[in-house]
Amino acid sequence: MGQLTDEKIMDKVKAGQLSELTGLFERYNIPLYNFFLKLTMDGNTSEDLTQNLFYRIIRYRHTFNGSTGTFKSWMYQMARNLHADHCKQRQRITEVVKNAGNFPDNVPEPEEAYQEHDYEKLKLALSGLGPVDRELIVLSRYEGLKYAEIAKMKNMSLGSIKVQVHRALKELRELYFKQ
Amino acid sequence: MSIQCNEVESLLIDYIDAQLSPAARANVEKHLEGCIECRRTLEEYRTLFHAMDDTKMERPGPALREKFEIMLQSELNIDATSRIIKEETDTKVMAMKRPSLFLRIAASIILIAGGVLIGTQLMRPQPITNSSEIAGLKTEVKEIKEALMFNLLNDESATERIKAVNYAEQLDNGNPDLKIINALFNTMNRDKNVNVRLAALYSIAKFTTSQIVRDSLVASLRQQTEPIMQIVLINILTEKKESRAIGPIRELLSDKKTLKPVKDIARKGLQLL
Repeated sequence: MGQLTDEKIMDKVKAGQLSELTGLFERYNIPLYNFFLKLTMDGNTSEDLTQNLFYRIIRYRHTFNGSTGTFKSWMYQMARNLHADHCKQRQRITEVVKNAGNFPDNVPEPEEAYQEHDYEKLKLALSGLGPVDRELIVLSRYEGLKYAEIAKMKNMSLGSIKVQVHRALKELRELYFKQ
Repeated sequence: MSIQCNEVESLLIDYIDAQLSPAARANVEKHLEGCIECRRTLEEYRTLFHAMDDTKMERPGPALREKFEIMLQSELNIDATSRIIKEETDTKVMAMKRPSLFLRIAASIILIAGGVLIGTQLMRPQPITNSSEIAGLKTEVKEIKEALMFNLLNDESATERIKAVNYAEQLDNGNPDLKIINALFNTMNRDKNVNVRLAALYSIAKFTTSQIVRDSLVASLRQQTEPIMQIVLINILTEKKESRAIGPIRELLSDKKTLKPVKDIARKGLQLL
């Protein structure tokens, strides 16, 4: 049997064949985990977010519409929202911690993560970017979404997305070679 | 037409990605020939993209797949349950599309029915001629309450689900039927939020006089991975002197992944059994 497209599988899920979601899990659990990993820099959080995302996919399956966009962009749109929610929540917690006068002494310093390896160097450079820029880079370069898809997701024009991605890459390049 | 270094920078990315028109490409190449600074920038981008391509995909832990499968199973159950409920309510409450409308109407029916019940209680000395009507009304109220509870159990908010769990145990004067107990077990074993699972467990604990309930609790002990759930389950089962729990408790004791506090409780539990 030939490989079904993501959209075909999702249509089946939408029609009530929930078990078909396993196919999409197989395809995307690792990319999604890595997507969250690059945004949050934390393995446990990324696993939770990946798990939550599949929960949302199944819960909001009726909102998927294959005629208005690919499954991938729909999925990453939800992933972005999920990550944004997570950040808001974390911000609230940090504020509580701050107000309580605790010492956040176990927050890892970027220096601690430093290693000679290119990969670590890249991770460090990525973590130096702002969340918006980091997300743009992850979506466009790692997840391979087209500028047009990102523009639609963020409800922005193609031109300004391109400018933003390029600016983010420029900053990343500077961070990477400054180390 | 010659271009400036600052204009070239963003073109360089498209240049590497092969996204430029032949003319623009020629322009960039011409500029690069004469500009050492931009050639260096180009090399830097190439190195950077190369490093990004080399980035190995990290693999999530095995728990992710496990959790996914549990979640999927739970959704399948919810789906099946809601289909049953839908069939039932469709015939009884007619076609009410929006849940808010459904909830509002359900609430008003409960109010009216409650009023009728209170009224009949007050007028007890009079012979009740329409007792079958009242009985019918009572079952109807019960069914609506159940439907409400099932709806709430599927709510996205954990607080609402906990409410539903507490509500479930009060149904039928604290003597709920198997359907509700099953729903509670489903929540206890599969809800993604541990607080909801715990609330469901505490609700179920009230019905341990039934052997089926105790057996299901024993079975659940094998499934639970959350330490708090394990501890509460062990406590409940040992308190009830449920000897069938000995096997699963021993398994927990010999499992490397079991946390120490759980093992301590498990050891104490075994002494009591």
